[in-house]
Amino acid sequence: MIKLRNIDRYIDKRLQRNFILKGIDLDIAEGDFVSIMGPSGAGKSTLLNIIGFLDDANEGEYYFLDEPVHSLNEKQKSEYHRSYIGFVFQAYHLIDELTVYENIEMPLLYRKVKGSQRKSMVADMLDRFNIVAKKDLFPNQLSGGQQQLVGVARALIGSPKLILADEPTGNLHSDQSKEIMETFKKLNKEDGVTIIQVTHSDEMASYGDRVINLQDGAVTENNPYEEE
Amino acid sequence: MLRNYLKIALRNLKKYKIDSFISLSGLAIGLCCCIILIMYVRFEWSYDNFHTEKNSIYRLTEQTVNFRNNEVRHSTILPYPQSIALEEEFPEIKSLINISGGSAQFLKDGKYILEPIKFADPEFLSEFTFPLIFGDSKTALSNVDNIVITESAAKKYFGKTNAVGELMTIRLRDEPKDFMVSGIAKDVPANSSIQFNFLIPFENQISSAPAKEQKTLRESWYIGFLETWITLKEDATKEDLEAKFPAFLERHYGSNWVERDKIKYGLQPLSQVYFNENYRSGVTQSSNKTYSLILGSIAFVILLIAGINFMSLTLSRYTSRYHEIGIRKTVGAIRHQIKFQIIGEVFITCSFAIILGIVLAELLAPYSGVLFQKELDLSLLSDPVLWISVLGLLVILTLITSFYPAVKISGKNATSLFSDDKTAQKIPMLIKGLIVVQFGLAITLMIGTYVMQGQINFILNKDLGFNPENVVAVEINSELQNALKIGQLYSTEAERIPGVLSTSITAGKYRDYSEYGVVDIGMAQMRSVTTLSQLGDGIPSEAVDAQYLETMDIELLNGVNFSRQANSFPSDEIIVNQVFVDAMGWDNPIGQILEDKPENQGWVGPFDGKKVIGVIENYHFKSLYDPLQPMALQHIETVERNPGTILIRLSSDRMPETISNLKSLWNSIAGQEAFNLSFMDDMVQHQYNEEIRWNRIIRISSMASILLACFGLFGLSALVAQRRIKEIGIRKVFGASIKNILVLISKDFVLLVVCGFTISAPVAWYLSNQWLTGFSYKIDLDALPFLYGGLTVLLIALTTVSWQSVKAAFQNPVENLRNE
Repeated sequence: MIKLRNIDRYIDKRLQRNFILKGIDLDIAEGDFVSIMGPSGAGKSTLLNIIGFLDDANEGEYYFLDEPVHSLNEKQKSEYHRSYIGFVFQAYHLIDELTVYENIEMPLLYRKVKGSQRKSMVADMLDRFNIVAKKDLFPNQLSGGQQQLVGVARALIGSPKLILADEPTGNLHSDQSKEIMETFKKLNKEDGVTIIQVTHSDEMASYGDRVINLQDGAVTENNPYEEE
Repeated sequence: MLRNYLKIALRNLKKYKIDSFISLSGLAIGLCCCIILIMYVRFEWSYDNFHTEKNSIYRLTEQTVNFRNNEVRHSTILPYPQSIALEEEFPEIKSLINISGGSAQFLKDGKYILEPIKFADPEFLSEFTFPLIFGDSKTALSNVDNIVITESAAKKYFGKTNAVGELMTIRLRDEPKDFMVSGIAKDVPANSSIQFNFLIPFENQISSAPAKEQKTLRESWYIGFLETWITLKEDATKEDLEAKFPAFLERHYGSNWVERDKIKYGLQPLSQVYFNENYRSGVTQSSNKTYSLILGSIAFVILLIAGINFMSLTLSRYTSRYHEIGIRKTVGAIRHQIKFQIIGEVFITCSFAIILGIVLAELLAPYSGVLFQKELDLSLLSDPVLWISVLGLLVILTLITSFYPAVKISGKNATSLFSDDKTAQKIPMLIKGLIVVQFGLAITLMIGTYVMQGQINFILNKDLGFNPENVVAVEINSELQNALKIGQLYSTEAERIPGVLSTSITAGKYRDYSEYGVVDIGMAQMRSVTTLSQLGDGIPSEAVDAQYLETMDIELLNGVNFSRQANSFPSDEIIVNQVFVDAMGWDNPIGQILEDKPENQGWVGPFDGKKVIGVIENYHFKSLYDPLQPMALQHIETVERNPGTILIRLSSDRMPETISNLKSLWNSIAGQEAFNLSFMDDMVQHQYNEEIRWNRIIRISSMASILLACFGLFGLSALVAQRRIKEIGIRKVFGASIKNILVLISKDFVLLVVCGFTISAPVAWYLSNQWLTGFSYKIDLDALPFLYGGLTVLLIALTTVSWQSVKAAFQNPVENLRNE
């Protein structure tokens, strides 16, 4: 599903070129549940953002579903982005001015889904995450775990093929984290959604079936657990 | 989707209550001020537009050059015979209308009331557009005994509108005469430079004069008392007719005269009458175009300031919305959708503010007369110009305001939007620039206001050479047979009233026509064909009695006053002012005898054989627009003139009582005559009514603009304080004092105001200088207005900003840090 070849991402500073990512080669198949791990500053989030079309690589080739992303224009990228990818963030990134319902609904608006259909899809999602009672609340009226559930619900509403989660449980305590990870696992197993998460925690990584270790912008270990 | 945007827009407005309120209401108030001011400017510019024949109506103007000092004089007040000659000699003139102004006493309920009237030739009503409600425009003024009055005058005198056929008893001079109301005119629009309530045929102006003067008025080419208006036939042009004037003048004045005085006649289109300050006359109103231009610019500046407020607040609010936009991008919004959202939001808030502004203007318009001191009918909503310009404003403001954030924010990718969110604390350069412009404008206005105020105070407080305070003028109808007797009796009796210090009988009229830009403070212009070439062609002169100098508080520099003993003065004594002496070049003025005999002409100048017995300090008997002129005082009993005014100097205490005593004295001596008393200091001040009025309008408008600018600053500093709250918290935890925090937040803004000042000072200096050149007597432009202007604005700005900084500085840092 995802094929990265020799991806570089750097920042030029006067005479020096600082590499965030260097020479990344990576293949991820549809249906994988991958955890990206590594110390702070290793380039985990940058890698995730590149995979999710939020950031562009400076060098290298990126094929998404065999489509060369590096040569797509913004509109085409946006098209892929909308129909295949859902994001979950550590800081939830919900819009403060919108209610739970409206936050979940937002991606559908950009997808130009019709009103009645939108309603049923959102209702479905609220139901699925057991937050129907909270649909008219604003994000700051929810706990962190609940906010993240909304974040996940928003990521899922467009029924994406790929979910990118940047430390989704980083701000949560363990019970909440478990709930989120169980949800991911269920999605992965039952609906075949590909999931890539960045995490610091071995426990969270263990929900997945593959781990990629990043160190100083390079992949040091691909799938350490599998080889055990 | 639109609903979603709308929701976000509204909720954002709600969330940032203070600055949304400020940017919205600021724009609304600014627009409201702007609309009202522009409406007034449009009103000023709409003068005389309503005449359907406005393009073929001209006023005859005369320009002469004083051969003594080469001073150019402009006048529209012309002698009578020229109008007869013009009409006879130029067939291209369709009709010629003489108009003059005056006043008459109207009998109502047994008492005479003084009313201003207009004399006009019969064609007046058909050539100008002053429609009659009742009566026939063509014939209403053709009978000498007819009078046309306005609707409101009819209501006042007859309690009904249709008063055609009613009789009015009027005293133009001494004898009452009955006039028949032949037409009721619609009330004259406020934007007409010719105003009237009572209109009688022009012939009355001459026929009501004493018999011996009538011939002179009809035949003399040297006594101006009327304005001549001309309409041209269709195939005639203004230029062709003007080209024939030099020959015309030579035929009638003789080439010597024309050459010496460089007399020129011209035709002034009706559309230029109101704004031509060169020709101030007591017949038509005029105003200074500069002021309406200034006001128009202020209106524009106010709008600009309000627009900048709106822009800077909106812009800086967007920097705190990076996060939201970032999220939208991650869920699939593409660039033009983000742009559309931003532009749409701005458009909505902007339209909201504009609608609010229009509603506000509509509500306030009826009260705007208080500010402008003119009653004007502002029908805002029916004005297409308003709607077009408002629509234009909406589009421009939306585009400018949203363009920058739309392009800048939508172009960023989501990750940088998330990370920039935390660094977007500083005010962007663009906004800083806008604030500098804003305060530059505000300070310029403030300095201008101070300069203007200073000049007006200077004029009002200038030593005039006489003391107008506590002097009242009581008018005597000088056409009365026994006017001198009444005057003398009244003044002798009045001196017995406690509180009266002295009285003086003078021939001059002291009348306030300030709505026409004219105030008469005594003096008659003796237009003599004088051979005293040093003095020019006219010497203002006043017939007074011996108490005049004392009552007016004028200093006698040299020689003696008129003798106080009755009948003991020789008839050839005059007192002159210092300018007179200087012009004549006398070293020893006392005892000089004037010779005023024109060569080859049959008549003797008014000053021939007069002997100078005294020299007085120069005093300003005219407004300070006019330089001092040579003038002469004669004794009233030697010149066979009836008194026109009794001047009375009062003591400053218990003045109301003294005045009521004066009134009852008048009623017992001259019961049938109306008692007209006016205060000299008011009249002196009324000479500058137009300046005072404009100064007020401009002062209030610039205050409004400064308040608006501070309004914006308040919102912006609130935004900055709010955004830097974490920084302030951290600084406080690490030991910053409240003073440190205040300085931290305020210093940026103060710097901007200082930048604004640096830009505005030279501009203000240039503009003030331009304005001051119009005055004969003016202040020296020093640093003070600049200092005051800059400091005032700085102080206001500082107060505004510190309001927010104090709030931020006093907040508990623990709270702030936890909120982050």
